[in-house]
Amino acid sequence: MDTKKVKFPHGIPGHNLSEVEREIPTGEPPAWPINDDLKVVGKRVKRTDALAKVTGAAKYTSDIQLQGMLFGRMLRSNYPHAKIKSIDTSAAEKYDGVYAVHVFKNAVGMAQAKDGGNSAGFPDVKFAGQPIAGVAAISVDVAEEALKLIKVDYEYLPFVVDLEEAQKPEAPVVFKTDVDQEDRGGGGGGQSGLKTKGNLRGPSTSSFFGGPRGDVEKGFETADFIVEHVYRTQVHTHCSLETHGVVVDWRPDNVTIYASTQNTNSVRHEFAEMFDLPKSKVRVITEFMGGGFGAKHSLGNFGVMAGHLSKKSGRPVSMMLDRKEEHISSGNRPNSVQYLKIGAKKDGTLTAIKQKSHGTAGVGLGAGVGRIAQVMYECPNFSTEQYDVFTHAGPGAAWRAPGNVQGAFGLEQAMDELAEKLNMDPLALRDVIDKSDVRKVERQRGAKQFDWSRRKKPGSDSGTVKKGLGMAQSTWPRFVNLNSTVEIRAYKDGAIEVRSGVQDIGTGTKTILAQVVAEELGMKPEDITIRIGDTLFPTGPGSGGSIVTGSITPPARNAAYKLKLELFDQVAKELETVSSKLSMSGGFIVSQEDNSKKIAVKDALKKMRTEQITTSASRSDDYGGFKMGSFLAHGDLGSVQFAEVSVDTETGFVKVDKIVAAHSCGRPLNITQLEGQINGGVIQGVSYALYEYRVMDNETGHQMNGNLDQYKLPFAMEIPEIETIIVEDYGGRSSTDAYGIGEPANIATAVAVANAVYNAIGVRIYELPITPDKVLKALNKI
Amino acid sequence: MKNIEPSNIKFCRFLRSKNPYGSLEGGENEWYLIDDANSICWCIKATGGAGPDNGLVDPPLCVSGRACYEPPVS
Repeated sequence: MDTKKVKFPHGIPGHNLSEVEREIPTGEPPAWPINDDLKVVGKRVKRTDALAKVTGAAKYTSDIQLQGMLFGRMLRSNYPHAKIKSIDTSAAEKYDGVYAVHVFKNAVGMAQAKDGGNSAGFPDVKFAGQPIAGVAAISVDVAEEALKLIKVDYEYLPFVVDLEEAQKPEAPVVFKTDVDQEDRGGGGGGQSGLKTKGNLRGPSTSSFFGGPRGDVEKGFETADFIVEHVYRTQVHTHCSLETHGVVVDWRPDNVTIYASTQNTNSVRHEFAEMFDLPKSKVRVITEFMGGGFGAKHSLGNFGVMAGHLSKKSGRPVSMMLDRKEEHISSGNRPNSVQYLKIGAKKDGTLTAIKQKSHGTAGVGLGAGVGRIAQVMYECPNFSTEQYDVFTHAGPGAAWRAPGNVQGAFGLEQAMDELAEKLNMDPLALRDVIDKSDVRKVERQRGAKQFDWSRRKKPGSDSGTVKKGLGMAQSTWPRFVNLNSTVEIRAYKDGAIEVRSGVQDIGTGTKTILAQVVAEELGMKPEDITIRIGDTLFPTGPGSGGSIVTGSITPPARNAAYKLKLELFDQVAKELETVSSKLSMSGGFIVSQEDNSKKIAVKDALKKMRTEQITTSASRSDDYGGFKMGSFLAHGDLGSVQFAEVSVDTETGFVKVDKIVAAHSCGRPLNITQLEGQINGGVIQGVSYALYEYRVMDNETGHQMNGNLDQYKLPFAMEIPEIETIIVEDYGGRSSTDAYGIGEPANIATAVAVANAVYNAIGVRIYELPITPDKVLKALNKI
Repeated sequence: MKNIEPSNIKFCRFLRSKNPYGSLEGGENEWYLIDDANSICWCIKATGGAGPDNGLVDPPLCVSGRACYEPPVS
């Protein structure tokens, strides 16, 4: 590939801004200056879909109405562990208004099943709420009545839903896979030979970040101070505004799926694989989406069921989960019990970190505590052992910075305690052990805005309601998905259209794409039409891992740049110059040799030789290469958050008064939208810190608070004042140099609140959520 | 930090994983197995964390020799 050398802004304005030279593909645009010198990017541009959303014109999956559409509902097991001996659907099939019934069956028979199976091939029930069968009918009510007519003959089996109980030798086993796996062989960043015994899987001691390092026991021997505790976090269930769901419209020649998904491409691929269809016959549309925090990447059992019902009935089928289903079966953030031991010298230098965790993702994997303890601070000696514990409960799912929020709760409380032992300010300790430049700036700017100097000694505030201040920080890697393509079309009537399969899950992807293209073309964002969330368009990345902005905006800019060059080529002769002497700004193409020679872009488009120009670009490699593979970029999406709380020492109630959240995401693209995401992450963090937790009944295996009445989310009065600081951090790694903020916004909040609670009452609380009973217990008042 | 290569194991075609950093593994995507303690795995055939044989869905288990295993489409 031909390349050219280009100088990019590098570093943090007001701190260490300089330039860096990168070798970039010849066809890519020149470097943008820092945001101060741009017109649209980095500004508070209003959401392109704001009006559609506030007027109700925006159509979400649950709003989709198709001719002849049926409504699907699923029968779920009322028992947490059972074998199904038989299912009789005959009465449901005859029920008036029912068009199709489908029963989930397994592909292998009794002899091949891991735990006996059954002759009919029904899957074993492993949690209360597991879907068994589905009905498609003319209404939700009819479908639910028909479900009641399905007769299931169960053989009940013992179960366990509690994390500690599940680890006992006599506990009922969720998966009979008592296997010592063989090495996985070449490649891969995880470890080989991970074991599953009883309900315990692990320990996982390494990841792509590497394995254990140094000698932790020797590290502890050289420590002057040691902090050692067990930290506990709760199961946290997904509560997106829009529940999981699809509308599947199976036609003879193709299938269209309207999906509330974070990944149109993966839903298409899964559906095609599941039903043995070519991908070209499956189209997935997500025009508007009511939020997702990691659990909406797959087709899901509801999507498979809707597919079967639509295929059987010959009609479109809408299958939207209700709020209870959302709680019990659509995924959750696993809980954790974390043992953490940290050693340090008198000057704060860390000598060793030892971590051991157990968590349950119910009938699934992924209950680790992330790698934040491994990577955020310099420490020569580190080890971790992370175990999954299987229980007969709903499956875990990715949840906004998977594992890292749990891990941060332990790590950052331990650092707070260590600072106190060392008689150091928590910020000063971080200055010693944290080598991140961007977090250093965030600490400085955040402390100033928050007025950290107000912080008193723990428990020293007078009165019944005690004020406390705390802080915590986080790290998150910059991931990039190269399978990200954007197409841009310019039409003779002046329209500019951006097309990509990437979905906007509510964070404002449409708007930043409009900004990037408008900036490149010297136009206004409202002049750009964004059409995304449709697999008819070129493939875009899934919305996970804060990956979208860094993956999709560079090809958007690059495609716009190509379009600009093509337009220049077409009008250069008319402007009596060559295309290399033209520029585009303020809606005009202007000769750099004589700025009186110009043509409005809309007029230039009218003169095009063809009805439209189409250009496209895919995400290229990071300038200067990746840190690892072709996905892990250089740099850090660091954050530092400060919390101010009031704790009523008579009632135990904690009120978060204020959060100052300092964040970085490379080049910020839209300040208002970034603030929106940070606000959302903080609110979710406050909710995790104080309110939300799944309560399971050990006697029945059911979630007892699978609703939004007893599963507490914060109301407006419980949401603190939130101030954000966005630190520009240029690296010159792509044509936009921009990254996401979804995950980082959420990691540090809960533990910053916990540290503030400690500062208020002088007693540390090691378990989330920090409910009044825990506060009063800590104060020896109950 | 060492570099990593995609795994050369032929995992079941119906196995999928989402790693904690937002990338999907399996299907058309290569297997990097970047974090086995923090990744979610599921079988698209059985639509969940249990396979068609009621066993655990986990990359080291979803390999040739398992009753429900199907090789990836080459």
